Amino acid sequence: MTTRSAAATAEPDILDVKHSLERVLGEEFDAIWADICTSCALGGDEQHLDDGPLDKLLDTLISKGAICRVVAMSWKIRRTAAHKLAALGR
Amino acid sequence: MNQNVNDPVQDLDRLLEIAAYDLYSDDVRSLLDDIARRGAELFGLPLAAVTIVLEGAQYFAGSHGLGGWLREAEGTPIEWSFCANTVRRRDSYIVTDATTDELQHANPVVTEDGVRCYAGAPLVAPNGQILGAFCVIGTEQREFSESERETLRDLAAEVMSELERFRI
Repeated sequence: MTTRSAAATAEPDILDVKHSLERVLGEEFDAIWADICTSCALGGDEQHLDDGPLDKLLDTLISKGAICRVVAMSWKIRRTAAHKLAALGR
Repeated sequence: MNQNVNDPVQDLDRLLEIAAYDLYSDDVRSLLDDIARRGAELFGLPLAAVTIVLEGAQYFAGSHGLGGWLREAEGTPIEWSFCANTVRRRDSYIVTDATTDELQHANPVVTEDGVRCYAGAPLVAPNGQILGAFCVIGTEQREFSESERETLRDLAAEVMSELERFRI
């Protein structure tokens, strides 16, 4: 596995989260994604979310539990790490 | 983040096994922090952690001695995770001097955060899936004896024994 800094500290966005969910949820993805989008007042086809809506998306996923929480925790850590490292100039 | 579907870290069954545990409560953190503290003391090292290796990041479910951004983020991107290699190997992963290690010498947690030595033992679930690692970390070069590696495996087994109480 690479240790490239730029890739690891890239700011995650909604498409990253969506693609992860598609992979782990398989056939269940469409229904669960629709439910999450409704909860977050999203259309589902967004290409980018600002900080607030992305936070809400991740928190909603965490509240779903199970594999959704695993995916959300992963992206939440990457997102927080990206913010903290950017603040440090890294 | 590039996802290699052949990477054991990305294995869906492994991620589903992680999902079968409540790893994020204050009770779990307190328990795992205590085991991490004992691990650090046993090895005389400043850092120890119970890491859960997620698909794109490692999560510090319990830790001792972590500070700065590592503590605030509660983990690291998977690309920087030593513990991901424990998952891939399904066995202990030892780095005695990260600055000269072929895989880790350019890792920013080595070059920027000062990690120099690492020893991790896999957290093996009852069904054989590797959830993450129990690890100890130092800022100086260090060897790890076979006896110490066994101690590390014992601590990893203790973590898994405790985590069974938090199976959902």
